[in-house]
Amino acid sequence: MAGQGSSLDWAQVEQLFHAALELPAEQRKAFLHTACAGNAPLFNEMKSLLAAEAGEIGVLDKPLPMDTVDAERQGTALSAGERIGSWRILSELGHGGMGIVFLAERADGAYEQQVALKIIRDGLFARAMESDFVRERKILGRLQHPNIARVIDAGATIDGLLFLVMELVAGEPINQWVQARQANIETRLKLLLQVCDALQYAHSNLVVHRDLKPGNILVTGEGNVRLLDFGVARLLVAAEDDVTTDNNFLNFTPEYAAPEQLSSDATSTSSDIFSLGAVMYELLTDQGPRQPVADTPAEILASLREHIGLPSMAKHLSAARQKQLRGDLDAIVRKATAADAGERYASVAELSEDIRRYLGNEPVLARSSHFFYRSDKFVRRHRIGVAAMLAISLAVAVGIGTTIWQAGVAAAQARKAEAVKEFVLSLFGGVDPAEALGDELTARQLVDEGAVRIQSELESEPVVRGEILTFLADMYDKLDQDDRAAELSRQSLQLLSDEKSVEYANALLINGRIMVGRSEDDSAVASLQKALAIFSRRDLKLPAAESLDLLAIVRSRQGDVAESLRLTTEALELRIAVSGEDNAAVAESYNNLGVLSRTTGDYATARVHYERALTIRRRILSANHPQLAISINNLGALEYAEGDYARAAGFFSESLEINRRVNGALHHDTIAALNNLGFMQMRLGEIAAAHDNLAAVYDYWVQQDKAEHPNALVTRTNLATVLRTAGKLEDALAEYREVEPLIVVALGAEHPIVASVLHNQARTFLELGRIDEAEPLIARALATRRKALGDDHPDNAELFRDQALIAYLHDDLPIAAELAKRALALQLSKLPPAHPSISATRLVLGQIERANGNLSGAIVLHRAAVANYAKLFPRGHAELAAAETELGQSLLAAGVAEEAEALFAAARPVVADRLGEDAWQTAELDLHLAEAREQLGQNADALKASATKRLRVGLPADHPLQRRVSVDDLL
Amino acid sequence: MSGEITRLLASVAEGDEHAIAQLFTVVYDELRARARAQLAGSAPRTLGATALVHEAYLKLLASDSTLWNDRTHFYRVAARAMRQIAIDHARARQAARRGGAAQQIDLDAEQIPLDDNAESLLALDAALQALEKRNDRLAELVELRFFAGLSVEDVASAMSLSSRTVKRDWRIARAFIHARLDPQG
Repeated sequence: MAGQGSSLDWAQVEQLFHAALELPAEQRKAFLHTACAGNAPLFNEMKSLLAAEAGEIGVLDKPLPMDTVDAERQGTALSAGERIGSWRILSELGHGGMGIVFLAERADGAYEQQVALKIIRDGLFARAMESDFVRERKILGRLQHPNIARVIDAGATIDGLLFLVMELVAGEPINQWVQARQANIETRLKLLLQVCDALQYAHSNLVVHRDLKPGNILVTGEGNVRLLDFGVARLLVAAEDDVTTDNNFLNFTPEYAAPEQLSSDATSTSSDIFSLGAVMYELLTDQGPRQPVADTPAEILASLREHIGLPSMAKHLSAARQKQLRGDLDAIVRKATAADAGERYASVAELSEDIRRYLGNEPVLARSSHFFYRSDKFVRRHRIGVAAMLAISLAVAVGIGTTIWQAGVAAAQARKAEAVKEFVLSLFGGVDPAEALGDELTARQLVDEGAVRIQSELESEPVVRGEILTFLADMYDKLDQDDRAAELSRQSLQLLSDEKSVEYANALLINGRIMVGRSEDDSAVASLQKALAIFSRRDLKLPAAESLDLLAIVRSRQGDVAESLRLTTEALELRIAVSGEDNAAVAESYNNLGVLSRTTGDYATARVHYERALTIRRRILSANHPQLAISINNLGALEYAEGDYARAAGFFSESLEINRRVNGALHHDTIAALNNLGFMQMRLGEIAAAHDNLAAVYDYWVQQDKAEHPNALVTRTNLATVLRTAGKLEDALAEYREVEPLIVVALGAEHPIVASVLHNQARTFLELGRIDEAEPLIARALATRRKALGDDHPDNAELFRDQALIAYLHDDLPIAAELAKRALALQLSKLPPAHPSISATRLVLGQIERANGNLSGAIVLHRAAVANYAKLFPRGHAELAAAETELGQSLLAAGVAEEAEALFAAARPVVADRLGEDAWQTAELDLHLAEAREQLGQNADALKASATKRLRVGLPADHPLQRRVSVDDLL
Repeated sequence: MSGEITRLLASVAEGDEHAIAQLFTVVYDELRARARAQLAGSAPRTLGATALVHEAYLKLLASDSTLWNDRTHFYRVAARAMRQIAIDHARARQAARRGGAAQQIDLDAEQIPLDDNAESLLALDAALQALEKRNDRLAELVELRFFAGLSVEDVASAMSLSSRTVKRDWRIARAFIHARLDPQG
C-alpha cells in the first residue's frame, strides 16, 4: 500500500482528507467517489486513511512504553504473605481483564474485613500520589451506595505496581445467578433496577463505570446487586499519563462496549447505558449480546464495529418467551443499545423508569414516538467534531431532571432538554480524540470546561444557558468549590427571567443548597422559600421536599427546632406520597425527625422515628451500609440519654461492627463508634474493656497527630474517668487537671465540656474526702453549664445534687434538702423515670431524710435507687454497691439490722477491691458492718476499733465525718 | 555540560548542521543513560519514556537561562534521539527474540493477546519514514508528540504553528501511521 501511496499527490490527499472530515460520516463515501473519480489508488488511500482516522486505539494513542527504551522488565509474581502497601496477600482469587485479584487483609490488623486487592495489569506508574489518579480515586471513594462495592484504598507498591483495594463481595455474576435459579422476567428486571439505581447515583457524581458487564454485577446471598470495579477503568486512564504499558490493552470488555468505545472516542454516561442495555439483553435471553470470534484486539474491534447493533433477541428464545419479550422489552433494549448514542435513553433514570413502567403495565416511553424527538437544529448548531455523535445527559441525570420527568414531555421542553444534553455531551465529547490522546477528562476538568464555554455559547437561549449554569453551579458545589458555585448560581438566577418557571425554581433550590453550605442563612431561606412556592404550585413533590429539608437545616441551626420539625415532617409526607415508605430519602427524613425530637428532649418520639428509619434501612440497604450504622448509633445515643447503658452499649457495638466492616478500623466513624462503646463500658463498670477501647481511640488521634483535637481531649477525659472508676483517684485527678487547660484552649472556657471536666474533678475530690476543694469546682461547673445550656438543662441537676451532698456533709440539712429536691424536680421533668441520675439524686435525698429522722422516707428513696441500679448495672458495680450501703444505713437506723448487715457485707468487697483496704470508704463500711453486728447481738469491737482507726487516718482532718467518729468514740 | 549544550543550541539556531549532529549525540547518550539507570533501579522509577526527555532537558539545560527558541531546538533534537533509541532497542530485542523462546504471559478468556512492542515500533518507524517522504512536517509532529511527549501547545510552539494546525495535522498523521500499521481498509 505504501508503494502505491507514494505515487499519489500527497497535497491532494491531505486536502481531501480534511474536506471529508468536515462532512458527516455517512456522506463521506459519496464525496470520495466524486472527488476521486477515475483515480482508484487515491480512492483506496482515502478510504484507508478515513477508516484509520475513526479507528481503534493505535500505537500512537498510548504513551511510548518505557521498555521500548531499554531492558525488559520481568512480570511480577506475588505470593501469599507478601505485603502490598498496608495489605497482606492471602491467596489469589483469580485474574481478569485488568489484572490479578487477590484476597487480602490489613497487614496491621487495623481492618478486620478481608478485601479484594487488584493488581492492575503489570504497569508501572509514577507520581501517582500527585496525579489525577488520586483525585479520581477520591471521587470513587466517595461513592457510597448500597449497590456499589466500595473502593477502600489504592496506591502503588514499592515496585511501582498500581493496586486497588475493594470491598470483597460474596456473590454470583448476575447472568449465572438468574440462570441457576431459572428466575422469571420480573425478578430479572428487578435486579436490573438495582443496577440502574447504582448507575444513576454514580452518574450524578460524575463517575462513569465504563466496563459494565455481568461479571462486574454480582448478586449476593440476600439477592442484592453489587456493582464491582466502578470507574476503575477511568482510574486507569487517570494514571495513564504515568503508566507505561506493555501492550495495547483495552480498558473495557468489547462484547458489552458501546460503539463509541470501540472506536476509541471518549466514553460517557451514554456508553454505560449501552452496556446496561447489553446486560439486559443477556438477562432476558440468557445469551451474550455479541460473540466476537477473533483473537486480537484489532480483529475483535473490527468485527464488532461491523455489527454494531445487537442481534434480535427473538432468535434466542422459545415462542412463549418471544411473545413475552416482543414489544415493550424489545423496545427498551433497542433504545438502550442504539448505535447512535443520541437515540439512547438520555439518562439511566429514563431507562429505569421504562422498566418500572413495564413492570407496572404502563406504556413504555421507548415506544412513544414523541419521545424520539430530537432537535436536528441544535445538534447541527452545537456539533463539535465527530465526538459530538456521542450523546449523554448528565444534566438530565442530575438537578435539571425535573424538566424531563414531567409527563407529556412537551416538544418545547424536549427541545430544551436536548440542548442542555447536547451541551453537557459536548463537554464529554467536545475534545478532539486526537487532542485527548488517550487522556480522559476528570470531573473537575469537565465542569471547568463547561464554565468557560457557557460564557460564550447559547446566547440566544437564555433559559438553556441558565439551566446549564445551574447544573454547573451544582457540580461545583459537589466538588467543594463553593465560591465558583455561588458565582455561577447567581448568574443562572439572573438569566432565568420567568420567575414562575420550574427552571427558575431549580436554580433557586441549587442556590439555596449552596448558601446553606456557606452558612449564608438569610440568602438560603430567601431562595428556598421562593423555590418551595413554585414547586408546591406545580405539585413537584420531590424538589419541594428537598427545599423543605434544606430550610429545616437552617431553622435547626438557628435554634428553631419546632419549625425545623414541622418542615421535616412536611418533607417526609411529600416523599411518602411519591415513593412510599421503603425509600432511602424517607429513612433519612425519619432519622432527621429523630435527631430533632431528641434535641427537644422528646425521647419517646425520637425513638419511634429512629426505629422507623432503622427498619426501612434494614429492609432496603445491605447489612454493611454506613447509613445503617448511623441509625444504630443514633438509637444507642438515645438509650444512653435515657440511661439504659447496657442497651446503648449493644447498639454501639453493632454500629462499631458495621463501621469496621465498611470503613475499616481507622475511619473516623469507626473511631466515634469505638469511643461511644468505650464510654458506655466505663459507665457499666467494665473497666478493662472501656480502657482498651478508649485508649485505642486516643491512640488514633495521637497517630493522626491530633492529640489536641476536642474529640481526642474528650476521650482523654473519659480515660481519666476510667481511672477514677477503677479507684485510681489521684491518677484520675492528675489527668483531669492536665486536660482541663487543653480543653479550654480547644473549645473555649465556656464550653459545656469544660463544665464536665470540672465536675469530674469535683467528684474525685469528694471521693477523696477533700470537700473544700470540690466545692468551688462545682460552683464553676454550674456557672459554665448554665451559661452554655440554660437553667433548665438536666445536667445542672447533677451539680445541684453534689451541692446538696456537700451541704448534707456540713450538716446544713435545710439547704441540702432544698438543693436535692430542686435537682430531682428538674430531672423528673426532663429525664425518663429510669435514668440513673435520678436514682443518684434519690440516694442523696434519702441521706438527708435519714438525717432528718424520716427513716421510712429514706428507705423508700433508697430502695427505689437500689432497684433501678440493679436493673442498669451489673453485680459488683461501684455505684450499685454505694447505693446498697446507703440503703443499709437507712435500714440499720430503722432497726432492720439483718438486711443491713447483708447489704454491707455484700458491698464491702466491691468497695475494698476498688479503693483498697485502707480507703476511708472501706473503713466507713466496716464501721457500719460492726454497728449492724452489734445490733444483731454479735461482738464487733475489734472490727469497730480497726475501722475507726482507719477512718481517722484515711479521711482528711477537716472532714465532717471525723467529728462524727469522735462523737461515736465518746459514746 | 549545560554550557556546551547552550553553545550547540546557538549553533543549531544558526543552521549549523554539524552542531545538530553533535547535539543529537549528547542528548542521545543522556537519554539512554537515564533510561538504563531507571530500569536498573539505580534511579527512582518514576517516569515514562517520554518524560525522560523532559528530565534530560532539565538536567542538560536547567541551570542555563535558555530562551524558548533554544528549547524548541532541544526538543526537536531530543524527539529524534528518543525515536532512534526506541528503534535501536526494538531491533536489538527482535534479534534476541528470534534466538530464544518468546516469553508468554498466561492469558485467560477475558484477556486480549499482547501486541509485540518491538514489532510495532519497527513498523511505526517504517510508516514514519513513509510519512516523512510525503510531508516531513507531519513526521516531525509525530516525533514531538509521541517520542518526546509534548502537548499540542508545546508542539505548536516548537514548530511555530498554530494549535489548530497541529491538531489538524495530527489527525492525518495519526490516520496515515495507523492505516499502515494495521491495514484493513
